[in-house]
Amino acid sequence: MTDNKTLLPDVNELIIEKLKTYPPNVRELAFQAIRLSESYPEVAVADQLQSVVRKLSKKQEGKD
Amino acid sequence: MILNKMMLENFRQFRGKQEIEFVSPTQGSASVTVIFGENGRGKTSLFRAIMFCLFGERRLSQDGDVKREELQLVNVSALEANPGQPIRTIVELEFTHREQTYRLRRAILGMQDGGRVIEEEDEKRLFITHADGNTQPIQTTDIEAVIDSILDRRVKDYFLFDGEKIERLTRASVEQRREISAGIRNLLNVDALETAIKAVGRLTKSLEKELTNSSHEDLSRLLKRLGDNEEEQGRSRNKLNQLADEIRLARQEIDKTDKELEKFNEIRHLLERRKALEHELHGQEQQAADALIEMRNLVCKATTLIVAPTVINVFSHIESQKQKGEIPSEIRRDLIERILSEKQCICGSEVCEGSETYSHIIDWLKRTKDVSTQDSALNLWRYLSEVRNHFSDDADLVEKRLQQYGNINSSIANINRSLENVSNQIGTSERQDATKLDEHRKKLQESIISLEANARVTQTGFEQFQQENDRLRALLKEEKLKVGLNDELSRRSILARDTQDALNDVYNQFTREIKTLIGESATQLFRELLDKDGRENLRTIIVNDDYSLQVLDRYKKPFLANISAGQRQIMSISFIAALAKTAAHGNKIEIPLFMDTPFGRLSYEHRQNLINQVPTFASQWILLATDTEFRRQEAQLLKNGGMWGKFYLLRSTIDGNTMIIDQDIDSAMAVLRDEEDYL
Amino acid sequence: MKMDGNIRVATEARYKELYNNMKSNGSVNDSHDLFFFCACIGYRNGSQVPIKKRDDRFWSRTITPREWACYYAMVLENNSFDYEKVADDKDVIAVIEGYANAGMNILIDSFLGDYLLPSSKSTDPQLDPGCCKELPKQFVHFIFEQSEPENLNI
Repeated sequence: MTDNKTLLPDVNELIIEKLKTYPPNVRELAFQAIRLSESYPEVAVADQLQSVVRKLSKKQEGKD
Repeated sequence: MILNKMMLENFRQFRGKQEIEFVSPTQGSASVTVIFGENGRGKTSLFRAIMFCLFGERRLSQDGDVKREELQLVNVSALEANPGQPIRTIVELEFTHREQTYRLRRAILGMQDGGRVIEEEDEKRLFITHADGNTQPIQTTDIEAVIDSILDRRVKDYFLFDGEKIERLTRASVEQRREISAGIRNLLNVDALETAIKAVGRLTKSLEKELTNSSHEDLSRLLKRLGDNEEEQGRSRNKLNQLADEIRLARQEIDKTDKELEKFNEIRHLLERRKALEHELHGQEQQAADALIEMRNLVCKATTLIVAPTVINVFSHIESQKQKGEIPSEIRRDLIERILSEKQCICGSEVCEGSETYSHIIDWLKRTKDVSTQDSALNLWRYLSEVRNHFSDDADLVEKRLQQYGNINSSIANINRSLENVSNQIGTSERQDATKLDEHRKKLQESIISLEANARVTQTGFEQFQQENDRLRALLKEEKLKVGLNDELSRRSILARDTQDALNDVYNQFTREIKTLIGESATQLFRELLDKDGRENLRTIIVNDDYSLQVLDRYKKPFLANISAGQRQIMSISFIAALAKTAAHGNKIEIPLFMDTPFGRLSYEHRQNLINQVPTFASQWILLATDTEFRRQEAQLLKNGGMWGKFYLLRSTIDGNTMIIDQDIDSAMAVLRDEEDYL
Repeated sequence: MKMDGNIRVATEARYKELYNNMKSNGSVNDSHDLFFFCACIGYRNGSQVPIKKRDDRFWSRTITPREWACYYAMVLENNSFDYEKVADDKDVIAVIEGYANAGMNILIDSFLGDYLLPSSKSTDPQLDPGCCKELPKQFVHFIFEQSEPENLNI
């Protein structure tokens, strides 16, 4: 059955594949953004990403 | 998905219960159903019925800005025949998908309320009969999800090839790019990705704003420049959208005007004749005015004709005086006076009073005028001679001018009679507005040209802003790094910006891949549909970065501007078919393909190719055609291919409704016209 | 017969507006043209009407030599070719004014009356501007009727 969510090309797989070339923080933020966008509108997603980006940034600082 | 049959009850122009059975490859080799009828009989309504049944939707993409409330589905006659009673409108669809048979029924209730019709959803039912024969009813709340899993509603419009859509895609315009861009986006189904990009973009902007307020001067300046540039780019984007809307509205207005003008076609030649007559009348009136001026000038000269007898008489008198030697006098008067006073002739003889000689001399004296009078008389003689010499010519001229003026007036009277005749034939003053509609149409076309030029300029500006954005972002990145990795706000901002870039990259990659895929698919079909000459030169269809279509020739050079209208149409059809194939995820389109008058400007060879090729890539083809599109020649081609299974005639009834008449193919040929019928 | 240009030629005062109208709406080129036309009509019909209330119309210098010639011819013919009668141009003009006055009356009675404002007919006649476009053609037609083509074969 043609799956509505996986019309050509397979978006999820491509996202995963492409983002592999980016640093982990970027990958993580991108995945979170996409995951949240499946359920929430743009403004709500942007708000929630504020805390995500803060956490990732602090994690980065700890590693540096 | 294969359609088996559809039942309509009181849907649009289909009054009562009517049914169509679609030819399906599951029943044999045939896959083509032809639905034949003049414009307005309901061909598109049949597609609309299917979309309504599947998705509960009334609007098709071709409806443009028509409001949902204006798309009435309930049959008007049924409402009028039952005033005050609600009328049920039903569409029931039976289709097969992956060995399961689906029976979907959707109904609305319509009722007249004052001047308008209110329509409300009534029932919605779905039954699935499985391969094992068991039938399962589906919960009303689950029906949508089931249908969406079979056919994504966003791509539904790609399975209707209507003449207008085909036409839209042939134009290299903002509208075309929008259509293609929307088509590709729909195919990709990347809503979440798009939302994510916008959300991350919003996050980036907010972080960079914080950074601008709290940071380093150079960084702050760059951020501001970037912010301003992005704002300008945003304005450009809005302007492009606005221009596209204006162009689309102008085109709709032209279509509307064309429909109005069609009513005037029958009187178009009369309007042209009237214009010609008015021009001629103006010319004659001008001539009449000139003739009057000439006559005014003639009055001065020709008035002498009134006193011609006097002129001739006086002239003759002076002439005779001349001949008698009186004027000028043979002997001067002063000499005669001297002779009389001296009583002596010049010869010396005496002149005595009372003598005969004396009497003769007295007579002479009487006859002789003084010099000045003689001179004046001679002058008068000369002027009268001149006047007299012109009498004949002046009389001729008078007659000629009167005749000429009479002829012009006759001509004017004839033209006025003809004008009256033509005007009567033209009829009411509403129909005389054809000229105004024509002018309105011309103005709209001019405005479209201007808007498209404006859009091209704006697009260039938009691209320049994009380049500047990219440049500034690169500089910003460097600057942020310079400011210091220890600056946490800066880090967050960099992370957000990088993520936005990454997501944009992913999106662009998807769209590039899909554009390439569609281009390849469209090219394959394009070359199969083209005639021999077209195949020689036209090689590839590509979808450009800006979503415009281009055709490359054998030298890989852009050639779109040089292809014919028929070839453009083939290009459009190929592109839409490629979208449909991609949406259907396979080499064969498993969704029924509706083509509404696709033959338009196609040559015989192109039509032949289309008729031969479509059944090879579409499992089920429903061809909606008018009498000018589908003639015996096309029917024979279909018949020869062995794919034609059903023929339905849409016939209008007295009350303005439509009857669906099932006709066997052989008797269908009798209904169809030959090419010669159009010569 | 000196064709004196310094004489004021007059018409009946009530025809002042009419003369002006005819000039301004293009029915005639100039006042002397209309005067000549009227004079010829008056003479041709043997009618002379002295002016009751004089109003100067134009200078005699606008009279063309052809017109003068015709005026002299009229006076000579009517006075048994007595050249004394045409010796003084003022006398000639005085006579012709009478013919012109009569001629205008004949013109109004013939066809010009149809082109006048009805209210003005009995007082100071004025042209109806709405319907005088064709007057030049009417004049030419009148000339055609008044002249005797068969007598023009010279």
